[in-house]
Amino acid sequence: MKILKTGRYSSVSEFVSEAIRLRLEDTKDMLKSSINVDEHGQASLPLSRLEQMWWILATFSEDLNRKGVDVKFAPQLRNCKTLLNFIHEHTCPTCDKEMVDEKFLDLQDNLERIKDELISASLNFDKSYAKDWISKIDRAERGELEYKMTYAVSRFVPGLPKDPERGWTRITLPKPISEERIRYISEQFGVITEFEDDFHVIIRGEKASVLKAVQGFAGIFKE
Amino acid sequence: MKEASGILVIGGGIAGIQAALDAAEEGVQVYLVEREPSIGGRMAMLDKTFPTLDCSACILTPKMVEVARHPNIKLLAYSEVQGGKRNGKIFEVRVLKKPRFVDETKCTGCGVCAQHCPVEVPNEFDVGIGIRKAIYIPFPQAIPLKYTIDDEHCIKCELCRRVCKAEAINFDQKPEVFSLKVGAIIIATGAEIFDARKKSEYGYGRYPNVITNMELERLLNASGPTGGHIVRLSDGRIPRKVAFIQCVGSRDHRVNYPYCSRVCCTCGIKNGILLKEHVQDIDVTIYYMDVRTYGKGFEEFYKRAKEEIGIHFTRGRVARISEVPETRNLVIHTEDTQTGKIIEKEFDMVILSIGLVPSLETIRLSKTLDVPVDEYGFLEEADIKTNPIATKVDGIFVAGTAQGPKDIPDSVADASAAAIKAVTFVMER
Repeated sequence: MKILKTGRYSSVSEFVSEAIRLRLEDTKDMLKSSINVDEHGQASLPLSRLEQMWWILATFSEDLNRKGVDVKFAPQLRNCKTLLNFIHEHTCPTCDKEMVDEKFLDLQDNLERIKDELISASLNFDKSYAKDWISKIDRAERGELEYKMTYAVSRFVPGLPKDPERGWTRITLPKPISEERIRYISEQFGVITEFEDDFHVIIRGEKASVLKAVQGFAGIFKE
Repeated sequence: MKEASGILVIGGGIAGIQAALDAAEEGVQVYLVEREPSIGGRMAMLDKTFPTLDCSACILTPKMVEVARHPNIKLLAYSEVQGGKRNGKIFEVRVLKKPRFVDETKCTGCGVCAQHCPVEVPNEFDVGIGIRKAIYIPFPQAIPLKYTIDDEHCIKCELCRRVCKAEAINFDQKPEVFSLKVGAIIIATGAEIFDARKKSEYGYGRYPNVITNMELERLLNASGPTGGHIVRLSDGRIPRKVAFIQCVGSRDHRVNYPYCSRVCCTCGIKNGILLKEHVQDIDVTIYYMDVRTYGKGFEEFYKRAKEEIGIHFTRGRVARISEVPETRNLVIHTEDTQTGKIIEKEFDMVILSIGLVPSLETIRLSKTLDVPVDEYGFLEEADIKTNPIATKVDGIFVAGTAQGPKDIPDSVADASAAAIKAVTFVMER
């Protein structure tokens, strides 16, 4: 936090007061977006370029592996994805902007390193193949690819059980199924099932019974 | 450095992370074992930290990334210490690596598998108020960012296998047991939070609008299930009148936790301030026995909350909470011990400031590694005054809340001390 580093406060009390005052000043903008994410939650151009870079490098790495070129960049790509997630999530004014900017540069450096090594590996494999990917990477660097990164989002559901002995599961069906079939599963396993709509079923009840009932849906996905 | 000169850190919360980083910086090989799919522990669940209201993840995430990148740290997440014995000056420890059913050498963390997974279940990381898929990462900034299949809920529909371009899904993975030889061990397994259902008079689990401070942390968090919006769990309505009840599961002989959990008072005050930030004109009352704001700057934090932010403080132990069935509002029944008056007051939402209790994992480990625990189940120090970082077993050290309730600064200080003690121990042999 910036004010901690300045050392311009004469007492702890003064420092705490100032910290709270600054936070409260920021309140109005608390849930607004910052430079990296617009008001619809979409990445602004600099972040979007890095997202495209990450995606094209991940795809490139997978493709090289499929072609038998042994490149092991999964851990580095995962760390880069964590940084992307961090930058994407940390957009409120109370977040440490300096830290986010620092991680932004860190992410850029890491992606550059992965890019260099993947290009080098592909050049050794096949020059025209490498040229094709270099052109894709160039487009990603300019933010020209049709790619929007999807971020893991937690969703609020009212009424989830707080008792560890109770279970709750929601299943998205591949196709609508008959009410009789759902009723059969409910009766067989002693659980409560509810249709949210044609494609979504909620199963509630004793945890052990819910776990068994959920397995009863497996067959539907294989039909 | 030889393997036997390495240090094993058990637990990947803030204390374990700090201990691992400090020991690794000294050039020692560190093995960091975490039983959950990601490191981060309880601090990763918090929104802001007191008394400065800094973003918790802004402090924690860089440290987590550093752990993943440090050349001297071997991160063993989703693994558990199963057993261990001393063999001369070396500890031989057995570690169980649980199967993620995802090939760690291939998974890039893209998340396409989770988008297609048809099964949703309550997310433990969101303390059950949000949901996750059966193939998941606990939170977006997880380290390592490896997807994990929850075998209990997975229906083996294989949609994830079909969409994974890295071909990382592997349903044939089996648990692996391997052994480590190390020169010292740091136990940083943390504490658990009190099960509020044991205080049945407060109705937690029966009344949806009675929540715990950990649930409130997830509601306040911009990356939490509500995107930082404060809502009642019963109907999603914004609460306008909120009460905090302090010392739930702390300083309470009836539930066998007579000690003070040290963090809940300041935590309650912090969350009261944050509620004032998030919801305009919200009325916040804190019911307390004594306000115990330990730590530098904490007393000033309390005074400011009371005198300038406008949080009401009522001294009195709450006898019970009842629910108004029509509105699902809550009535708090208490005696104001400063005026002697019996008070019944209605609120939209009640937050229980629950205490810290010994972790079952710490108790299990204490048996496995033969390290004594105190009467409650926290690890016993070699000497509480002069050697609080060492346990009664030579070469095994303790950091953070595995030793007793404490806040983040104290846990970090403990961790650095334990790291230096452990490094010195392995170097001097």
